[in-house]
Amino acid sequence: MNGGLGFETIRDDQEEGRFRVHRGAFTRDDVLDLERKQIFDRCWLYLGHVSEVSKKGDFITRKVGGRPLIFLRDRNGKLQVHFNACPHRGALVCREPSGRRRKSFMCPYHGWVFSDEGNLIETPGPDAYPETFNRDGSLNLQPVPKFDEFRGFVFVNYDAGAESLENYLDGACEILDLVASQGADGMEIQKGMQEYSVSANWKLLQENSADAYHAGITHSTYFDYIGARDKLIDNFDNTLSFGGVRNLGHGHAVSESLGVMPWGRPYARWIPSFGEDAKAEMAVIADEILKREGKTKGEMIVKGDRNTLIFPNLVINDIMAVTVRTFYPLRPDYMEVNAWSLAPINESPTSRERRNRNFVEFLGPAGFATPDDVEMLLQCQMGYSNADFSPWNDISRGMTRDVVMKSDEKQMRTFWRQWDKMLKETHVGDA
Amino acid sequence: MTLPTRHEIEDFLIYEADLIDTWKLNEWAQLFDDKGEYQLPPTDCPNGEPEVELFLIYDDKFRLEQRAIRQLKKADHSEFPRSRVTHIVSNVQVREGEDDYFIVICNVVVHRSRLQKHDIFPARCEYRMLRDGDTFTIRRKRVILGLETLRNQGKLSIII
Repeated sequence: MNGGLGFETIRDDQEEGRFRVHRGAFTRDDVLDLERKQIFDRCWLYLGHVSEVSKKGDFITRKVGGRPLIFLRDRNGKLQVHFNACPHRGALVCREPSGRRRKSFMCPYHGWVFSDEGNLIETPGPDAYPETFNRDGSLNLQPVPKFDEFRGFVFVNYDAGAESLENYLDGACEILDLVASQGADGMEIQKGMQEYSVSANWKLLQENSADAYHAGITHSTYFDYIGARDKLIDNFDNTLSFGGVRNLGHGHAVSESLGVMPWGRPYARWIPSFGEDAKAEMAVIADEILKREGKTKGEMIVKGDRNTLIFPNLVINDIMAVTVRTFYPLRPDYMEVNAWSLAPINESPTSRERRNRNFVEFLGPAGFATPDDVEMLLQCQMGYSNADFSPWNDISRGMTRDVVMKSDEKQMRTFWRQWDKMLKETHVGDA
Repeated sequence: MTLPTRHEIEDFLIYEADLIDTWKLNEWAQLFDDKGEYQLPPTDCPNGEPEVELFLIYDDKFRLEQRAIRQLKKADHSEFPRSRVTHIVSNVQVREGEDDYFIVICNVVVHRSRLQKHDIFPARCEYRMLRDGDTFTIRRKRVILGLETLRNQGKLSIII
C-alpha cells in the first residue's frame, strides 16, 4: 500500500467528517523519493512565462523539478526547453540566469557549441571523431520530454506519455484565463524575482498558500497595519467565513471571494491610501476590462480575490497584486521558493507603482505577512518531530458543511486526495 | 551646502545601528523625515527602481513606522522570540547630493541569530540625508543586499 511506504498516509473519513494526514508525509525521506518519482516526474510543472523570453534570442536558466533547464525563444521565434547539461561531459552549458540575443551556447569546459535549437554545431578538434559522430542527435542538447503553454504560462513534463497540458490543468484553465485577461495587451512577469527558502516540507507551503483560516490569526499585524492606514477594517470578518472553495480537478483548487477583502487591488478596488488622484484612472482600468470581457467575467477579474493551487507546486494568488509562486523540495524539511509578480503589459507608470507598493505590503520575504507564514511552516516542521506520539494533522474544517466557505479546508483535502492517489498509482514498467 | 564630516556621519550611523540592535525601532523610524523612505531592491535587480521593478521593501514614512510597530508586537511571529541582531557599519563615504540632501554610502554586515540559526546579511546602504540642527534626518535609505538570493536566510524579518 501507499507505494510500499508501509504506513497510512491519509485517513479520509467522509461519514464522520474527519480528514487526517499523517505527519510522516512531511518528514520521511522515502516519501520524498516516492514523490519525486510518482508526482514530480509525472505532473506538469511550471517553468516560466512567455514574457520572460519575449524576443528572439532571449533565454533564462531555471531549475524545475530539481533539474536545471534552459528556456529560450530561438531565432525563428519558437520556444525551446533544453536540459542544461553538456552531452559531452555534463557541465552546465549556460551559467547565466538570463540574457538576450543569444544564438548559441558554448560549454565552458571543452568548448562544444550548441545552437539555440540545441544542435551540436562545433566541437574543437573534430578530426578526432568519426564521421558518424552525432548522426543520431544524441550529442545535441537534450530537449525536455514535453513542454506546452497555456495563456502564457509555460509548463514542462518529464513524462513523455503525459496527458495534454490543457487536460491536466482542467478547471484551473478558467483561473489562469482570468489572470491572463487582466491586461488588454497581455501579462508579463516583472523584474524582481523573489528567491528564498523555507526549512519545512514543500506541501506545507501548498497548504498555506490558500489557507484563509490562518489569515486573521497569523497575519493579525498585517490587518492592524491596513486598518490603521485605510480604516476599512471595522466590518471585516477576520474568520473569513464567506466566499467559497472549488475543486478544479486533478488536485487543483481555488479559494475565492468577490469584493470582500479589505486590501486594495491595483485595478479596481480603490482604497484611501491610493490617493484621490488614483480613483479616476482605476475606474478607467475597470471599465476597459468590463467592456472587453463582459460583466460576469469582468467582475470576476476586477473584484475577485483568488488563491489558486495548481497541483503539485504552483500557486497563483490574485489578491493585493498577482503573485506566481513555485517551490521544490531539496530535502523533506527544506524547499526552495521562487515567486514573481505578474502584471499587465503596457500598464501605466502610476498603476504599476501602485501595484509594486501594494504587492510587498503583504507578499514576499520582507513583506508584512510572508515572513510570518515562513515562521509558521517552520514551527509545524519542528512539531512533526513528535510524529511518533502525535501523528495526525487534522484538516476537516468545513467537511460536513453544505456550503463550503473560503476559510474551510476543502482545497487542502483536494490536494491531499490527489497526492495520495498519485503516490499509490502503479505505472507500466514499474517493478 | 557644506558637507558633514565622515566622523559626524559615522556617529549618526552608529547611533542608528544601535537603535536597531537594541530593538528601539520606533525611535529608529523617527530618524526619517516626513517624506522618509526605506527601500530594498530585489536580489536579481540591485540597480532597479521601485516604481518599475518589484522591490522587496518599498516603504513610505507611514509604512516604515508601521513596520517598526509590527516588529515590536508579539504577533510578529517571525520575530517572536526576537532575533539577536548585530550591525557592523563600515566603508563610510559622504558625497554631494541634489536639492536639499546629501548622500551617504556605507557597507553593513548584519548578523542575526534565532532558533539556532545564524544568518548574515551583507549590504551596501545608500542614504539621502539632511542636516537637522546638530544631528541628521534620513530622507531615503536604500539597502542593496550583497546577496545573490535569500535562499540561505529564507526571509528578511529584521531591519537592515
